Amino acid sequence: MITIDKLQKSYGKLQVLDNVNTSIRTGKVTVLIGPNGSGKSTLIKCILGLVKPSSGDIKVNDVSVSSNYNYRKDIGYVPQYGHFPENLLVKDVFNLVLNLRNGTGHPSYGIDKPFDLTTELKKKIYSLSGGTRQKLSANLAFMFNPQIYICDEPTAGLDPIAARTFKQYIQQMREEDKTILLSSHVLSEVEHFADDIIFICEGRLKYNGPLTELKIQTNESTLEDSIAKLME
Amino acid sequence: MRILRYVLFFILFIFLQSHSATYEIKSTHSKSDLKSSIINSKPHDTIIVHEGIYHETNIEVMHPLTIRGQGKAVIDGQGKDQIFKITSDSVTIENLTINGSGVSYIKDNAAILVEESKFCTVQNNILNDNFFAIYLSKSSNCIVKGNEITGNAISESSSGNGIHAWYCKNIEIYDNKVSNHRDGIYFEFVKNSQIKNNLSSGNLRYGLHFMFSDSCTYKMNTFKNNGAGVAVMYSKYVDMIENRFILNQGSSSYGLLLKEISDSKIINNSFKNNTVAIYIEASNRIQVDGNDIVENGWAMKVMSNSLDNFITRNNFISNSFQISTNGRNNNSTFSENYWSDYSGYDLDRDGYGDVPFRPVSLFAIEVEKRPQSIILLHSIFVNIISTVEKIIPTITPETLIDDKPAMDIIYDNN
Amino acid sequence: MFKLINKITFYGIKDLLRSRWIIVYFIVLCMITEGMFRFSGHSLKALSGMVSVTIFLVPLISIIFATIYYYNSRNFIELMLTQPISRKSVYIGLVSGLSFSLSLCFIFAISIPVLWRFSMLSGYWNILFLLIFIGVMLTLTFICLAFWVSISNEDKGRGLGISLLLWLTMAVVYDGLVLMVVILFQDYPLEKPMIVLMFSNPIDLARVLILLKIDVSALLGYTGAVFKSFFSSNFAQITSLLSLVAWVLFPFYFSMKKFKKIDF
Repeated sequence: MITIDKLQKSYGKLQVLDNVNTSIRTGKVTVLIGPNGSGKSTLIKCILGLVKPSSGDIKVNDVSVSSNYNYRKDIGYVPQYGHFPENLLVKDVFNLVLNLRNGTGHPSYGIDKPFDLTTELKKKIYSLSGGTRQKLSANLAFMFNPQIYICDEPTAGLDPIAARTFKQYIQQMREEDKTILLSSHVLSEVEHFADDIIFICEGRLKYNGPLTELKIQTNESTLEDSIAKLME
Repeated sequence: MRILRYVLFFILFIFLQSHSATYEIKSTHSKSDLKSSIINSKPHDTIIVHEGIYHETNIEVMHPLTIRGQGKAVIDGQGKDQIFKITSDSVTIENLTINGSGVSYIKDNAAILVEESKFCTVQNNILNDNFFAIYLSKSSNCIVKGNEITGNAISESSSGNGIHAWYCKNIEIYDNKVSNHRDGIYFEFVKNSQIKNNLSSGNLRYGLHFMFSDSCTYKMNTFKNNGAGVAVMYSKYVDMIENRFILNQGSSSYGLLLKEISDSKIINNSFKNNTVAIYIEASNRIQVDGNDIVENGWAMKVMSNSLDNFITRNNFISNSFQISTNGRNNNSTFSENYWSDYSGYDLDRDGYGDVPFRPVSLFAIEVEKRPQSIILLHSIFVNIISTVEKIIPTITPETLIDDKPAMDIIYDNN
Repeated sequence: MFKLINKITFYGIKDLLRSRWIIVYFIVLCMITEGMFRFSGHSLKALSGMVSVTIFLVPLISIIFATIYYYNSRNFIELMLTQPISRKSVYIGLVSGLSFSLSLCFIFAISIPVLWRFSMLSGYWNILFLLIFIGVMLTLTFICLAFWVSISNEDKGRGLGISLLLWLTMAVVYDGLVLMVVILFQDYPLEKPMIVLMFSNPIDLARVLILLKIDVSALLGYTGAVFKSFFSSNFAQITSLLSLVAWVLFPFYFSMKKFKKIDF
């Protein structure tokens, strides 16, 4: 459960997030959508503690993110692009993250889920393709079996088959009652497994609620059309 | 011929032995024993002073005599007056320990004063805490050898010199160790004399102070850690050979200071860790050859009032500044020296660089003008401007160049 | 917390020591040192040449390398920051990983050519150790300065430009200005301000520290009382040593403060 309360973020005069109030439900897939530069990434970074809010508060499982960094042990994060130290082996990256997590997790768990990376373990990072790097970031996020998953455009760098595997895995996590926050551009892709929608535009919350309700409200049959209607 | 000479000597020796008496002085005897023995003795007698401490001053030796210490015989002046005064020829003083001639602002009190005498020998004595230790005045053909001289000089005005020679001729000073006096060895108006194999260290002013003394040689001495190094002034025909000048550091301190010297030689000496290794002022026709000048502040300061000096085949290594001068004129010749900061090439492989070396850096001139800029020594900025100046000289003396810089360290020196 | 920092440091070193540029840096430095000893023919001359190289090259390489390293690692830094660890740990881990790598590289590059000239260095060991010390300190200082610049500037090109400008100012322009001050105000007592100016620049400070060892004969020729007592006292050496350490700690601390505050 993540609650966001009166969140404001501005860089100088530029208001990136303006009074965002919402909550992300446990056991649901929440999809964060909005045009480029709408504040999606900033919102995610605020939750992760990468960006410090100008005002307002975010609570993850009732713990304020500004108080300390321990709340992040419950979060697995899949960034848009995976970047790792070029000269390390895949194995090293696994070990490093494992150590950062104080060893609480299952190293073996991460290596083949959601993607099987056992054959890549002894390769250097710079020899990996973009897709494989993305798979590695996904595995790193999932290997500790956290309560909350935050994924920023996770399928952008993946080939269709891998993207499908990833989505299946997300589904499986939902069934395990995890909290999942996804940001995405490709509305058709997320439509069939999104429970809730957060739609932000120019830093303001335009819609926040179940997908079904959005469709009813806008009287449209697809997510894409509903959003288009909202944007008008 | 040679054998004949030995035989003659031997006969003479026997002859002298049979005609001279030996007096033995012991410390249990009354105080004036030494003095009365001297008065009672005949010329060429020997007085043996046995182990003990003798409080004596103003001991005058007026006829030829040998006074020899046996064991640790200490003559103590207790800081009053002079101790031995020799006014006769052929006096030998040896193996004694003589302490405490008195500090005086009027009289040059010495542990041993040799005055207007010839053929005297002062050897193997230990001289501690004296005002002047050995003082030769208007004497000739004397030998000062193997003495260990330690003063307790604190200020220049209240201290005298270790070995002091004034108006002397044909003096030989060798194997002595002198320290903690005002000047270690002092020469004034001395001719044809030799200073050899002495160690002069830790003296307040100069290790060797040398003035108005022509045709003298000093050789194989070590001058170390003296207040202002060695000063050689107002003299001609001085040979300075195979000496070592070490650690003479300070604001007016020199390994060797030359002032108004002419027709002299500085050959095969070594200079290390001095503030200025060699300072040459108003001096002409000096040959500086084969010296090792290493790790000094300035290897040489050659004032532009010096003429026709030849600086050849020296090793100039790792000095903060190689040559410094006070004008754009140069009337001395530099040739075939090794300069550790020379970066030229030798295409014809004759052992000498094909590009002349300019030993005066722009920064050396800057420091000469504004000494406080020395704190920028070796900074990147200074290195850059100095390099530019080396390529296009505008301020450094144009004629001060080594036209034939050696490519490698010259090893045949000492 | 220390365990975490150690881990970040450890993997940082593991990554960096395999980096092509670190290896190039090592080889170049090693070759320069070897060349200095081979062609100078005199240990002190070689060491004094190494001082010039160190003062010139180490700050330059450190600041450029650290700036590029920071920008290239930004995404990974973000990933680490999403883990349950503090920003402080990540920062210290990053800086120390880089510091260890560049310092080790410097130490070995200087030491290896020295190892097979063991006898040549007798009497000069203290200068060698001092050289290594200032090399390491300058490495650390310029890594921290680079981080300070890169953390403050989002754009890589801009950050790199500022880093280079900072180096140019501190390494070259600064001394030019000091010399100008000396020339302009030559009639005034300048010794105290000069000492302050030297302490205000880590490169000058490092250089003065070496001067006090190598060129003390020349320095003692100076007549002014302030320099004289400064050059001949242990106090000066200890103060400059400590100040050089301070020159590591201050940029380290200020860029850490910055790192804790910024948005990624």
